[in-house]
This record gives sequence, C-alpha cells and structure tokens, in this order.
Amino acid sequence: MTREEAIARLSRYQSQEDSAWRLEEERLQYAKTRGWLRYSRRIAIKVALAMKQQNLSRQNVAERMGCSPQYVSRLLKGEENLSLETICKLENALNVAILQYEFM
Amino acid sequence: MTFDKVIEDGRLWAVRYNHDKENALQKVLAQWSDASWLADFFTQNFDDLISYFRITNIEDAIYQTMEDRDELSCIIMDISPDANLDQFFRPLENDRTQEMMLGKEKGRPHRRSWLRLYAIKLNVGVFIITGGAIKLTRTMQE
Repeated sequence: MTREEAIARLSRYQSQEDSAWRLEEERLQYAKTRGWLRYSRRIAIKVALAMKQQNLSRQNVAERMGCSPQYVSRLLKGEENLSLETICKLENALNVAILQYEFM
Repeated sequence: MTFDKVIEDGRLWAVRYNHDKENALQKVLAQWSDASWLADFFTQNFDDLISYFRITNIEDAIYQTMEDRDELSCIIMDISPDANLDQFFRPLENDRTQEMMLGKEKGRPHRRSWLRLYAIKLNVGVFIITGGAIKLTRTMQE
C-alpha cells in the first residue's frame, strides 16, 4: 500500500463533522500571547485543589458563586479571562485567598 | 470509529471513537488543560511524582503539565509538509505503536516532559494518534 492509498483509505472513514481542533488551539495560543492565561491557569489550579480538599463538586461551587456548573468547568480549564468580581466570588465560595495585594 | 485529519496533507490523523464529539488528540489535550482532572491525577499518583521526578508540589506539576501540553500542541500545529514524522514519534516495544514526547526542555536539560502521545504507524509514513498518557514511571510496567 502506498502512502496515497493509505490516506485515501483513511479519508473514506473520515468523520462527518470537522473536529475544529486547530481553531481551538489557535484560540488558546492567542490567549496565551495576552499574558493573562498564566494567571487564569494558576487560579484554576488553586480552585481545583481547594475543591478537592473540601470535597466540593462543580455543582456545589456553582451554587455558592451563583453561576452554572458549566461555567465552573470552563474556569477550571484555566482559559477564562476572569473579572475581579469573579475572583472575589471564588475566594468567598471556597474560603481561599487567590489574590494577594499590597495596597489597601 | 472514524478518523480526523490532524495535518492537512493526511500524514497524521487522530481516531474518533464511537460517535465521540472529540477525537483522541482533542481528548488528551483537554484533559491536560483541566486543572480538576490534573489535580485528581497527581494526587492519586503522588508517590510516583516524588520518586521519579522529585517533585513535591502538585500545583507546580499541574502548571508544568499545562505548559508542556501547549508546547506539544504547537509542535503538532507547526508540522510542515517536509517534516519527517519519524522524528516526532519513536517506536515502543512493538513495530506498530509509536510514542511522541517532548525533547529536553531548553535551559532545563535534566527534565523531560511526562506527556506522551501514542500513535499507530502505518508502514508508509502515515500515523494515527490513538491516545495519550502522563508517564510518571521509568517503564510502562511500573
């Protein structure tokens, strides 16, 4: 079997729907160039470990924050450009300090 | 089971199992960017994390995984038509299954990524990604 034959054979079984994986990755890489992604990731990690420690589900956190479990899932991927308000809600929901500040 | 083309020239594919919305590549990339999934994983495998990689901080392990995940994704996205895929995938124990891993990180020559992508190699230079894993032990048997 030649390479072209192998590719043709795989193409016959190609998924009907495009996976769009490249678009998703390009969006993520773009977000990364914006710099805030590393903060979002660090926050997602803190949230995940706090949830684990307190045995909280996404549903529990969502109820405490007044948002949907789907939003909590997105937040845990570390790809959300979080507002200060959302960060405060997380701090209150999980009783953890996420932001440390020098002013005030 | 169907197949998704990963690079346009058809040399790299990813399997999509049983009407799943995502293919095998998307699934592992999603896992490796999910802080909750990674927290569970490293907590369950904490002993291996310490004994082989000497890492005691789970937060750092999770963050590094996310960074390595991005690097792996960039490598795949940047595969050129001239690139030899045999340079990205190296053989496992049998002839058909190959694994892809990141090379030694620049500036940190003593740490290698624990992320692995697995692919079946057809004998004409066409690869099909079937899944991935976080490998914290020296051998798969461990």
